[in-house]
Amino acid sequence: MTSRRAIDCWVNVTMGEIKHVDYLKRAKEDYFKAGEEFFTSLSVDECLADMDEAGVEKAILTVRVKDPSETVLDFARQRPDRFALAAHVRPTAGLPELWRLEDLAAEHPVVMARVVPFDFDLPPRDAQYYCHLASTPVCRVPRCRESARTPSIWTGSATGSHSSDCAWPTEPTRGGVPRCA
Amino acid sequence: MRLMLKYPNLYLMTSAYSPKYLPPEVVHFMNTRGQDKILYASDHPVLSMKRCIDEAAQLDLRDGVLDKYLWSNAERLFFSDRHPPRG
Repeated sequence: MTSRRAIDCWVNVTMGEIKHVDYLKRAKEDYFKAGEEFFTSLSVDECLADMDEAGVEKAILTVRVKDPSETVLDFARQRPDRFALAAHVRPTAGLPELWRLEDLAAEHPVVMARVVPFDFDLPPRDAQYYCHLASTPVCRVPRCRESARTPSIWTGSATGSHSSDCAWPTEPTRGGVPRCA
Repeated sequence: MRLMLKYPNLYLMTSAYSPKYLPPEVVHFMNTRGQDKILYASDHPVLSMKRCIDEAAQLDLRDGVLDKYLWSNAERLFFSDRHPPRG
């Protein structure tokens, strides 16, 4: 273990489950030029070993809001001192996605609500992003929006660096969203 | 970077971006007005966390900036008391 300490804000432990996704296969081969480790799923012990080797004290794991992976949730259950969660929000799922996020954040250590716009092909200011924008005041977690180069691989249209922006309001409000029928 | 200067609560996370390829402008920003703005992320196993951290250690950063990039900024944003309690 190195003497440095780090928090890794984006770690995937279930990449093996999405190796069939075409644009990810192309991203692996054309952009990252990576080997088979690209689609490696990790156990808790394997992930901890990688973290200890690199000096990563805490890792924030990606998990879907709808039907969250029990495998990922188990990481946070087993080692809450080492793992937290970044909830992957689907803006096209509407307000129920926000309710699911609220439930997820109430039971698990969700520290970030993330959206990946190129998954949905929505313009940046589309109203459907409301459920993501509302995640901060409702669930009191920072919002994260990926601005990735990956779409240029599969649509040939988007540009920009592969990175993420995080936003956190100055004065988060409290209280949930009314769940009207 | 202009937007991060304008908005106090806007940050940049370098996920899936090999630190050795960070543009010099970003490294300069990390060393100056953006010390508290840039967060480390690897997207492991897309890019291994060890590779990213080793490369980050090779960046030409001023004293204390590497710790902010790798640890302090994320700790403050995601795990500190600034994170309001639920309920």
